[in-house]
Amino acid sequence: MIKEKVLIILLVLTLLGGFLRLYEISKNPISLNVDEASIGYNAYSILKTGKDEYGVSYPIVFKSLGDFKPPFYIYLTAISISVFDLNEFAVRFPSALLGTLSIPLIYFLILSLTRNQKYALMGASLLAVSAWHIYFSRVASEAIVATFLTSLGILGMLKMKEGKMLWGVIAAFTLATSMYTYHSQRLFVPLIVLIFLSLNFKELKTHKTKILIFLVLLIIFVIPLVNSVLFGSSAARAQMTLITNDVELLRTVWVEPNSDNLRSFSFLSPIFGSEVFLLIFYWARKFLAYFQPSFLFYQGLGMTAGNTYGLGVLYLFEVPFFLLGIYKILTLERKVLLFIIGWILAGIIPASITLNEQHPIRAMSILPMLVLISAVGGVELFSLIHQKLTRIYRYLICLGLLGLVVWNLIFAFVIFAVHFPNQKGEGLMEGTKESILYALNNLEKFDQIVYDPVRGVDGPYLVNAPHAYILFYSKYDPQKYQDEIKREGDGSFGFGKFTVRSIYWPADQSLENSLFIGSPWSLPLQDLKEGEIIHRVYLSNGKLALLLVSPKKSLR
Amino acid sequence: MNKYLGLALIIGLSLILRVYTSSYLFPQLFQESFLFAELLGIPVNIPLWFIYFFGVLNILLLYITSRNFFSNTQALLLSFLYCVSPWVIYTEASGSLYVFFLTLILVIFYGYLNLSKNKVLGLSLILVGSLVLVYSSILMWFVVLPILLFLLLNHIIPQFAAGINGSYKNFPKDTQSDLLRNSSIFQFRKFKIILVAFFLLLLPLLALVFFNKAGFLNIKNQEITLFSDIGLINAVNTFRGETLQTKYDLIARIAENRYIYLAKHTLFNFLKHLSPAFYFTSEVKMFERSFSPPIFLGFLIPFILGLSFWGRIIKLYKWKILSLLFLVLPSVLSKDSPNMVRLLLLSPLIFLTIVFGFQRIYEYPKKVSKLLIFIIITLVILQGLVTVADIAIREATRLHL
Repeated sequence: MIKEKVLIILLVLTLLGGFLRLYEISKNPISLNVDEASIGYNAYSILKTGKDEYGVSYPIVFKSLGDFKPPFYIYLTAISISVFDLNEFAVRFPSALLGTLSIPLIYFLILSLTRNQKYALMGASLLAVSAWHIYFSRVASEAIVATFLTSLGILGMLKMKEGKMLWGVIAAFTLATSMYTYHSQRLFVPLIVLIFLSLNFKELKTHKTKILIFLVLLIIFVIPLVNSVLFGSSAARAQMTLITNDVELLRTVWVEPNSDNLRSFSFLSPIFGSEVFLLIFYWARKFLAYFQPSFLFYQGLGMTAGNTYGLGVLYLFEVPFFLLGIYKILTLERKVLLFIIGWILAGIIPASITLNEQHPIRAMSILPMLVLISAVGGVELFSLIHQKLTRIYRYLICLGLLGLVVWNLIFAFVIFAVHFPNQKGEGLMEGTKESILYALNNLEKFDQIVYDPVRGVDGPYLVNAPHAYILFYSKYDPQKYQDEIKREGDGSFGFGKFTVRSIYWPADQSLENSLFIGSPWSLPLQDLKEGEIIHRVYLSNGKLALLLVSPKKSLR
Repeated sequence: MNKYLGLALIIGLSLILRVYTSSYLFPQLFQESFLFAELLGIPVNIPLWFIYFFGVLNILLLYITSRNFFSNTQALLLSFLYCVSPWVIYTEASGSLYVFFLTLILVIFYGYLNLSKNKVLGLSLILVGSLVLVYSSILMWFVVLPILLFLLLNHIIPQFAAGINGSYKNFPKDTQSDLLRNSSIFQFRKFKIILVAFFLLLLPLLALVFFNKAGFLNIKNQEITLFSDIGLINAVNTFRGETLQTKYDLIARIAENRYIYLAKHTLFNFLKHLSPAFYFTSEVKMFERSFSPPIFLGFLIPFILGLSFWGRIIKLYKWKILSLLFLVLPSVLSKDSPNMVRLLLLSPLIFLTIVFGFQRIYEYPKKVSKLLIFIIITLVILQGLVTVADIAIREATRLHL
């Protein structure tokens, strides 16, 4: 039974974690990203009509923006929207809530694995303030929900090992659900179940029936997914993000040999020059890249621009914790050690076989184990300080560590509050909401509203999906949207008064009673008359992002 | 006879690989010079054979020094790893002076090992190795001087030495001072002569530095580039600029300032060297070449297993092991960290870890041991052949040669 004192600590940590995840969640991150807008509207559509935006009833794959999203988060959001209405808070709430509940969950998970309450409490503390976990809990993140469900499922399996059948059912259900929540789990969950069963084969032999029920339930829950994953739209999604589409691989690795420029030993090429072998070693590089200090400690979250020092998936003060933790877990029971290693390796596999270097969302599955290692190291470090040092040195070292922790948390706060909105706001399509709300508030003044999806301050490099935001902020009637014939062709897409297409100002300037929304790349300032610019949208860093322009022939 | 045959084969293979690499892949890339020559303004052209010669010497020294701890097979394995690793092959084939610096480090280490057997030889080797290193490069001052300082503290000051050993505490208090004075490791009097000789021989260099300060600073700025990244300072200024206009300006001053950034930059430059990806994959492109990893991926398995040996060794020889961390400094002080050329100084430790790992593998049950060895050898050979084939058919196109 959990002691009162521990319960209170756990409660405080959960409240602290909840506050960090929920406070001003609508305002930071500064804008819904395009996936969040799409998730929100599809959830709204499901709530109102039982169909997604394309008119498919209760799908298990949402076409969304052509990225074929898994369904569970969208259905959760539908529940949230039914309570809070369609807004930023409702879209992000499920992620924040389950992110908060992950804190007591990790306590029980670490306790189950290590049988050490101090490790478990330290793990809960670290997760409560984890920048990685807070960042993605504050956006509509399928990965956060999937990691919660997977962790709960694994806890269930650990309890099932002790003969508790109900936990087996919970495990089957939550593990299967996690596979409906995020793509990575579709590879991770089968691997982790296999690892668990292999390592605990002897003990589980005494609970054969329970294991069988667990496996049968898991398979039954997952059957509807199989066809989609192997042959359907999920397979298409997997194809899009697979490592074989990686730009670096295509441009620099799989270079077409020039038969006029061969060197010695080219006779080896028919077998050993094969692209398959190059792919294997390229994949190994991407796999090992997840163990780089840059990903772990100072750039992994990608919350700041380019090569600046931002936040890693772990804090800087966790460096000694992590290193000592690695050393210490080697002394844990062999089965537990192998399970931890297996969890980490299996968790990285789905992330490593996709394009992109070191994706913190796709590697989210390994977060509980990184927290465990840090927690073990942290407890052992304090234990060493207590045992080996005299009082005065103990106080000095602890003071130094405390200073480091406080500094690191302040730094993380400044990154979240100032630098992240300034440096990454554009990537989150900041300004789209403002432009659309303006258009909606002035809808009756215009015959049509044209929105150019291409934008970017430094160049027309970003491609938005403004229709998702339009649908979201206008709370466009889902039934009407499903039924109406969307205007398509000539690269444009439109519904109601809205059209999404490239703006070509030399031709478009003749269209009066129209509102054009675009970046200065499509609406060059030098070609506009002052009276035509009716609104400017700026980013948090003060740069001009969008112009709202209505042509006036009288000014020309 | 067999052990010399093995060694001869390794040396022969080493020369073949290096000559092939340099003649078929690229011309000599490095035109480095020695510190004293640059301060004097004397142009020095270091031929490739000079580097090859010291590369062969490295193989011999690795074998000889490791025979103090390992069996003949393990010592040969260490030399073999040095011989076949693309990291070393490329660095030698490109004519880098760090091959020569590594030889001197190994000479110092060999001298240190001989201190108890032959004090004069040991001290002479340490003296010669240190002096030549110090005369060759400013970066080597950061390596040699801390190691020498450690040797000084460890052996010159008997109390310090006895303190580390702790043995004198077992004797009655009135005999302890005699024991310390007559320390069997060596006596202060003899070392004093060597110390004086070291400083006397250092004087010409110090004089050169004094009379050519501008030249010295120029060389220093070329070799120590850790803080010369303009992007870093710009990033600091950008961060400060962003917080200045907000209500968080005060706490941001605590969390972000130039000194904290520079401290973080140094720490991160060091942490980068702990990544296995840099040593076993083509994460860092050596000389802008594509797919030669520094060490073949198959050796990652024994490397990971071998790390546990360091845990045991650190408990016994804490300060000696920690002094080896200075070998990383030349790379840490580089803007392009991790700098695989400068990290060559660390390569013997990496190979040593791999040898430890093989020892560990042999301790496993026979079936497991055989399976692991099979996997390692298959991976290494496969990657070796793939690398050679890839270089043969794609490298010229990639590099527009």
